Amino acid sequence: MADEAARNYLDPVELSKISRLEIRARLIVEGFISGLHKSPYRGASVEFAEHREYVPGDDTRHIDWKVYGRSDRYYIKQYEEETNLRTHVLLDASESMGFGSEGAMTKLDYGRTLAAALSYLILWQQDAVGAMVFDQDIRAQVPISSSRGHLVDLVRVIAAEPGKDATDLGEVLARIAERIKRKSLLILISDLFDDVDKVGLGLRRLRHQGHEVILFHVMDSDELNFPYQRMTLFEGLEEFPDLLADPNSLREAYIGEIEQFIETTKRTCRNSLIDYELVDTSKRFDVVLTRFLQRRAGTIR
Amino acid sequence: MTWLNPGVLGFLALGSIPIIIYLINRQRFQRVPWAAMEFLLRAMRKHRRRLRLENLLLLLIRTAAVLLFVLAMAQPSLESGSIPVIGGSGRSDLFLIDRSYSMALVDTGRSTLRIATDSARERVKAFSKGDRVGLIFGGGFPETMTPTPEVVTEGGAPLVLEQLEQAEIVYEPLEVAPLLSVAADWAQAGSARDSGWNLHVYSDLQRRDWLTAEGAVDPAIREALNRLEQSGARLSLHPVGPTRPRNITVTSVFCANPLLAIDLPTTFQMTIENAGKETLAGLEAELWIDDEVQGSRRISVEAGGSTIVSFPHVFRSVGIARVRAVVRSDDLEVDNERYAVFEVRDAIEVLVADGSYDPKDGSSEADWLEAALGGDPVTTTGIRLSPYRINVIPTDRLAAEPLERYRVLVFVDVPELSSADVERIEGFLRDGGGVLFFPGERFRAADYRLRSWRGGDGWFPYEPDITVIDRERRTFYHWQIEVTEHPALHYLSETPDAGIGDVAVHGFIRPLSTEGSTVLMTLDDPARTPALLERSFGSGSTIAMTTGAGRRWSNFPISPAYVVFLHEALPYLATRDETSRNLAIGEPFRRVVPAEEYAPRVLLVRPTGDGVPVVLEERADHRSFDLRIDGQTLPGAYELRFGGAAEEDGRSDWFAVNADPREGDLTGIDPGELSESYPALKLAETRREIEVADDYGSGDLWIPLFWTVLGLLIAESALARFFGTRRARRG
Repeated sequence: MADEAARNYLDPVELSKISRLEIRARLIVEGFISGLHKSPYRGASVEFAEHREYVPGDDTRHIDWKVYGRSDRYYIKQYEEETNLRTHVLLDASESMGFGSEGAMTKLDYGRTLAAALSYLILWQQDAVGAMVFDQDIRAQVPISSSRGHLVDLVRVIAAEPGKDATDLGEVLARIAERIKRKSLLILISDLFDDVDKVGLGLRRLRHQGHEVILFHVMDSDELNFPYQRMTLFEGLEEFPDLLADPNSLREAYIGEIEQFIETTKRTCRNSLIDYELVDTSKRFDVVLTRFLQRRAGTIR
Repeated sequence: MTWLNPGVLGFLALGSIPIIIYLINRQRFQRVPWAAMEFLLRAMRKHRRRLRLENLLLLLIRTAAVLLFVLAMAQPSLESGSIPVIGGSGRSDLFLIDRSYSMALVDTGRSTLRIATDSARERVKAFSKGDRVGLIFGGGFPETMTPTPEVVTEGGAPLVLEQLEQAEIVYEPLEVAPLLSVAADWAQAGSARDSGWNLHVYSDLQRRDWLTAEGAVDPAIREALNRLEQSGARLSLHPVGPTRPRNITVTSVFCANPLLAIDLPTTFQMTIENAGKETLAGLEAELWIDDEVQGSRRISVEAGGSTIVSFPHVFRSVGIARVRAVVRSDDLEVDNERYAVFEVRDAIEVLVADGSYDPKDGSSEADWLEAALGGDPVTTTGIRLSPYRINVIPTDRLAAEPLERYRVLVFVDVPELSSADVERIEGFLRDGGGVLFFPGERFRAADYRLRSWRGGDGWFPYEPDITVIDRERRTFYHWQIEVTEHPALHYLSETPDAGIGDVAVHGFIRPLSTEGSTVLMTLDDPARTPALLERSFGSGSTIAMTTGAGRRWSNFPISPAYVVFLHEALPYLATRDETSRNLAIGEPFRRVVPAEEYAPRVLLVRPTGDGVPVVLEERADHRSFDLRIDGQTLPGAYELRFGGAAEEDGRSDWFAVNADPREGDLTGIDPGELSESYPALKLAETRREIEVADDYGSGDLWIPLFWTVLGLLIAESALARFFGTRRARRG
């Protein structure tokens, strides 16, 4: 029963009733973990991976004495935590991310929650994680760390007030690339509402510096399906003008534009070996976390 | 274009509703902060033109649907090429209603006339304030019911509506030309508005009304239509009644004997015509005399044919006989009956004055004549073979004979007449008697010139000159009938077998003058010498031959034509002064009432049973009275009751009135043929109206309008769905 209650918090609607981000992150991960009874990733990061011969300086607590008893040689147990995964969560907090359809999380809220949950999960696996929040520029960041207490700093940064500026994603990705020198896993959470070419350029630059990139493309379900019926005044964000229109007559054309945008972005990611995941803010978080673990497993191998 | 509910047209403003809704929708919108505005703007830019067109198309369809729905509710019907007039802005309509008796046909529970007037009333009720309406009834002479156009007020057109409601059949045929001519006069006097008069003719469109008996174009109708065309009027024909009615008509009831007398066998013949398209069998034909049925026959009449049914009869009493021929057949009752009135006499008294009278000879000219007329007495069976009672006398007894006893005087070879005789003969003629004259061997031309011709003032029809006679019979001439329609000669002219043209004339009296007389026959000699002449004198008439009645003058006495001529001429002379008792609708009745038959009170009793007093007017001769009755409008037998000073003496006279039997031919004319016959007949509309429920049928616009509205609504739904949801389906 406790597991089932925990899993309910994978639903964004349910989770939006809880305001504290770190609690959200914990609930998501616990709910997620409770559903992984048969998962090959269960405890994967702290389990034994292989032996290597002891060399001076190694921690003697990791000598495998059973192997010594059989072979009279010292072997050190090598665990997966020793792969030393470095992860940066990059969260877009531009004005467009503040959109959310009625009754649902905003894209930013969803992105924050997702970022916190991923951070919690990464720390729970004893990997190092840092975070950056940006709009036109990098607004806040927290250095990378694998300490369990690091989550508090992460959440504080992730939950910072969003900016009112438009995104300049291509430019800001370039700056991020300059700041992250070591090869890392970059988890980008954004709606990518910027010039497609510039975004593609920024992503390729990250890849060019040897980073692994997972892109969570966050879209509201209304942005995907355009379900409006009545005459609507669409109020532009990020300096776009307002538009009064009959949604019925525009639906076909708008959805065509959105589909073309997503398809172009997917193609760019595929060409740059970036793992792309379209995230509908109405979807449960476990879908997203599963996608992340799949990606991480691929990175370790 | 006419509108049954013109008031509904005010709701045309509802056509703005879709536009208003569109504008309101643009004002009543929800606000949504929108992040993906770039894509929305791009979509708008790319599809702006198509979106505008789609919106405009939907808006037009919705507006058109509302407008057409309102128009349909106003129930328009197409009747002319005129510009539609809405809200009583100047319609001018003249209704011409056929009231002829063919419109009395009852086929669907109502008469054709009622169907026509109900339909016209419905049309008038649909008019609006300010419209103008006129009404003329056809049938006989047209009757203008609205001397000036009635202007429709808020209360409608009560005068026209009431007159339509009270319209009654007249028992006369429709006279199309006078009706159209009166309508043209009326329309011109009524000065229509700019749109001109709309003429509505409600009729069963009988073929005989529009074409002559030979099927030719009627020039008078053509002229009237030309006048209407020039006035700018538009004619709408509304054929009413069934398209192929069956109808039997009793076209005549005829007595074979021109003169009726008691104990004389006679035969009544009724002619029954079937103008329909199918043979009618099992019909019952009856003959009634004085309210008693005398005979009944089962008959059948072929389509387009006729049947003559004979009923023999012998009258046993003197008086006026009322005859009614009836066929029990169909729903047009008025032509299923026909009436006739005949006078039955004791006998027709004929006085023959014979100049060569010899009671023992038996071969004189008078003997020939008596034998030809069949003046036999009543047989042992109580039957007589001739209506004539003939009295042959020598010329010298003429002075002693009371001429007033006789209906006809016949002179045969009378050599001369005294002045007293001439005076009595002329008195006889003045009172309406008839004289038949044959000259002979003893004929003294000088005497007749002097006393009877008197320079053209006497009773004798010609001024006699010399006698031309070929006793060797080597030269002869034939007669030629000059007046073929004369009652005494008509049958002979129509029947060559009777041999009037074969008579060989060897001798004749050459007339010096025939002034004031009518030459009925001539000889085929080069001079075309008159052979038979008639001269009217007073109320009577004389028919005189220039050839004697003996064999020495011609072979006429042994010719079949001799008997025929006598039996044609004598009834004519005997009844020439008599007023006809068998009249057509509208024909006046005139009769001279002798002083001895005078009655202080005379009552005319109509077939309906109501009585009207009739006044006798004394004539100038102070010996008789004029009885004048204007033309009657109802078929049937009319009785004249002569009442005494104290009480009615029961003496009656009768006359019969019948409608024109041709009206019973209900064969219709095709409107296409009408237009072909009369190019000026520019029909705005032709529509057959059988039932009022069917009144607004084929020619009406509102039914297709409703269908159009339905089609537009379906199209709007389909287009809106197609425009608005095709992407949703893909999504």
